[in-house]
Amino acid sequence: MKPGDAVYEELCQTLRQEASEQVERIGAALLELEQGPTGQEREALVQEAFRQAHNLKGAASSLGFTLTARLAHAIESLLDDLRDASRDAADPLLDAVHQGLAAVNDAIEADPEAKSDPRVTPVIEELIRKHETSSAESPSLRRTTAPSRTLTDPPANLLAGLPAIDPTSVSRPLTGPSRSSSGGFTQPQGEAGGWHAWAGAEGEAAEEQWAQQSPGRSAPEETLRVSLRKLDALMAQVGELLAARLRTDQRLSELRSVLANEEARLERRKALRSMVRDTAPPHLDPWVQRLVDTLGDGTEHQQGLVRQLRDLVRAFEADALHSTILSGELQEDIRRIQTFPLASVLSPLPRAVRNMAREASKDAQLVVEGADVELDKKVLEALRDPLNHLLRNAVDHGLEPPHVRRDRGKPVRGTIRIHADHRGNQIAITIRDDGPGVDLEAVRRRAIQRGLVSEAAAVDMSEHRLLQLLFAPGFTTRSTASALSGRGIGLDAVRTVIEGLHGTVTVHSEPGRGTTVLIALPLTVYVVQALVLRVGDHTLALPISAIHRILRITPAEVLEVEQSEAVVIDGQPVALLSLASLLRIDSDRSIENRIPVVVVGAGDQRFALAVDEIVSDETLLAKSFEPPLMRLRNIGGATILGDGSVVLMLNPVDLLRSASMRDGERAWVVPKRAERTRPRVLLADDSFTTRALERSVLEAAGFDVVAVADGQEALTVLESNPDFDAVVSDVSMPRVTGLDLCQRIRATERLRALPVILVSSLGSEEDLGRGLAAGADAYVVKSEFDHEKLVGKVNELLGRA
Amino acid sequence: MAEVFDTLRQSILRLEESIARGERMDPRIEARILRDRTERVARQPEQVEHVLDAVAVLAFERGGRRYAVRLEGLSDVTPLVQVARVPGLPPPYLGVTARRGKVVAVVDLPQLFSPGARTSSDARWLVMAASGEVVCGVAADVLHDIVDVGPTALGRAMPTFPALVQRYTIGVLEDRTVVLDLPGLLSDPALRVEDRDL
Repeated sequence: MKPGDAVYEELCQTLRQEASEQVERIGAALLELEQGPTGQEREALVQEAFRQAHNLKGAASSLGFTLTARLAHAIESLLDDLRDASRDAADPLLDAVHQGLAAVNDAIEADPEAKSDPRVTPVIEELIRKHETSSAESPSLRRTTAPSRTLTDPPANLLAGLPAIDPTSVSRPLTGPSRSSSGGFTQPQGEAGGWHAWAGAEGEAAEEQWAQQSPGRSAPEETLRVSLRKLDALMAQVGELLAARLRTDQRLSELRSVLANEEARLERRKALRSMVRDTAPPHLDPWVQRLVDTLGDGTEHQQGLVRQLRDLVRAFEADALHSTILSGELQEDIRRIQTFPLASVLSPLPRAVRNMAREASKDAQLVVEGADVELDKKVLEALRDPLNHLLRNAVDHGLEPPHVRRDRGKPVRGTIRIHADHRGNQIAITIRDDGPGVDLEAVRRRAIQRGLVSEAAAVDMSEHRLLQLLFAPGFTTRSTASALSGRGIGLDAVRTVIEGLHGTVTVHSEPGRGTTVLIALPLTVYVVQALVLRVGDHTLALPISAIHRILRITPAEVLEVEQSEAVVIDGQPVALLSLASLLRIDSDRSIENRIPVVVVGAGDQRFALAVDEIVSDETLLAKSFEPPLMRLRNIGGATILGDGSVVLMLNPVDLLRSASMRDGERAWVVPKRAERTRPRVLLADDSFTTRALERSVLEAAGFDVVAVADGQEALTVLESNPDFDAVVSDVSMPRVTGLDLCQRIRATERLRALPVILVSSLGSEEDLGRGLAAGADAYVVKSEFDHEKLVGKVNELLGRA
Repeated sequence: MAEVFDTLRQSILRLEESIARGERMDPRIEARILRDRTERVARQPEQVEHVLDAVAVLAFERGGRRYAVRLEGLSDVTPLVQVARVPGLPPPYLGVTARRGKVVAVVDLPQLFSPGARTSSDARWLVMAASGEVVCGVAADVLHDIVDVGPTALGRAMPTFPALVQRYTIGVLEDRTVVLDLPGLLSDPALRVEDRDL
């Protein structure tokens, strides 16, 4: 193998990828070491960093990446020095290792042709000097690594002696040595380059190292690099599979229909056969007998056919279910491949900020929140550069020097926070520093100086407009450029990239407290935990992140507040809307005992949405619509389920806005009382006779009457349909008495004003008092029962007198 | 016919006699005869209409109306299993469907021609256009053959067609099939849905 061979190039590409990961791991370990851990924790971190450097060295050496191998060796040596270094001695060593890590990329780029490189060679020499200085100061530093080489070039390229390697075997990452049958150590078979064979005591020491550094850690996972184009094609095929799955369901439905028809036919034949057998005379004409026998045979055949069809349908259903499960799992697996957590982009940034801060003679830390948000790989890749630019700006412009921060009473170490979260079908990334904020006057002066605005216009320019000027090409308030920024390129480049992704970037500033940059990106593909709902014949999904509560309420709990409906949640009225009405679609929800309600909120705004059914909660791979559908109100995208069907994703931010816009008539969740020609009365009495009598009296008087047998039934009816004009109730009833019924009515907000007439045989003053105390509007004694009196009372209370 | 032969025989006899006498034709007459003969022989053959001018189109029906689109403008034609209606999505869109892992819009052509036209939503086929970043298709009830359509077979678009449709109508066939530039039509900004009034 040699440079130019396809296999060699493949290996080199793998090395570059792995080197990047190894640098990140070493950097992460160093950042933790800078926090000052001690004992075993510290040892483990140093060991991890050392292992990664060692792997890098070995892999680079095996492919002839001489420069990289030398650099890795120098890093390795410094890490070795770090093991027993005191805290004071450790800092310069850590700085040196960081310096070395920063040069790895340059070394990889230069290799394998270059023997030296102006960007790398000085760094290597510097690291060697640091190592020699450190060794001179601490000659007792333990040497635990093998090989015991001096800092010379690694062994010559071993490729000439290696067999040709199957390209698929390069998928295995470069791991440490393993014990060979001879008791020494060799690289596992199939690895890219079987290089060092360590034997004897050195090998044993190395074995001890590996055991220490990875207690209980399993072998690294095999990986394979796959182009995004191939993944997209794979996803498209999965889409086809799901569509085929949907067609399968339709065939199954047709088959069931055939089965049902045949079963019905079979029943008819059986009935006919039975009738013939029962009514036929004992002796039949041979021709007729033959006919009867034929009918019997046909029925037997039909029975067999139906049995077969049933078996076929059952088997088809089982296969369809299995297919659905497999399709769903396949889609989930593909989803995991297509999307990556934001952490994959954010994880190198803490180290980058550390280096930037050192470069600018500042002290800064980066705090990352929301890194587990999963995004399309393409969007992630595009975000790398903008984030780096913004961090450079934050360190250089956004944070004060340590002494200035101390004078201002701020922590010497500045903090930059990156926070990411889903907002509807967008991802919002904020980068916030705790520096002095943007110097708006400096921006104003520079804008005038550059001729971007006139002096007069600049005076009246709003803060928002001034901040937008920061994105103008070449705009900077700096008179000189630092290594980090100041050329006026960064923010312009950021905006170009973000707008290329159809997103927006804005700047906000708080004087003395800091600057915030907000990036909002529409998501093409994203993973979301969602609640699947049904409204009419629409199946919709709502991101769970936007849901505050899920309830089931009764119509009685719905209040009317200034021509709007509301429901009390946590002691506060929350606006209640029908999702069907909001989306202008038909609902098939009839007035039921329990109405499913989802409380949706953003910030301090919230409202309750009544739906027809809450189906399930799912992890979904949501997708934006394809052109020419660019943006739809209330709908953020869609997802394709395991059975191939499309479910629309609701946009909670849009829903909130739509809810606050009263455009046109909106359907009530609980229909308002319709205008009736005949008032409606709820009659409760446990006596059938009394109930019938009072019913007939009231109906004759022009009332519509709903009669129930006791107070509990009356409450049940009122909960599901409180649309009554009055309640007439007996007092002594089982389960819930008339007095209890009256009290419960008065305690219910929606029913409070409902007129209640108690009718009872108990006529003492005390009874009367108890009735009125329970809240009754009238009390009619049965012994004095006069139907005119009862009707008169009802009419009086309803204003019909 | 007999008179024609007699005239001809007489002319030939006179010519024989002239030749026998050694007479020569008047040079001007001779020149004219030769010129006429040359022109007759050198006439361009009749132009035959080439088969290569014909365009291959896929014909289909939707809502009882016939349409055709050029094959080169199609990305694929597949069974249309399910169309999810989208609240707020205006006509002529029927809704969206899943297609090779993407969620694509489905257009109802009759509604483009006659806004408010009612068609059955049970279309069986999705005819997808191939056009840049637009990923969109039209619903079809029945697919017919792929036919070659010559330029002379195409009548002009009806002036009563909506302006949008007129722009992308290649022509109308004798059997009332409307031949469309489907990729162009579905890419037209007029079909773009971008609801930003929030």
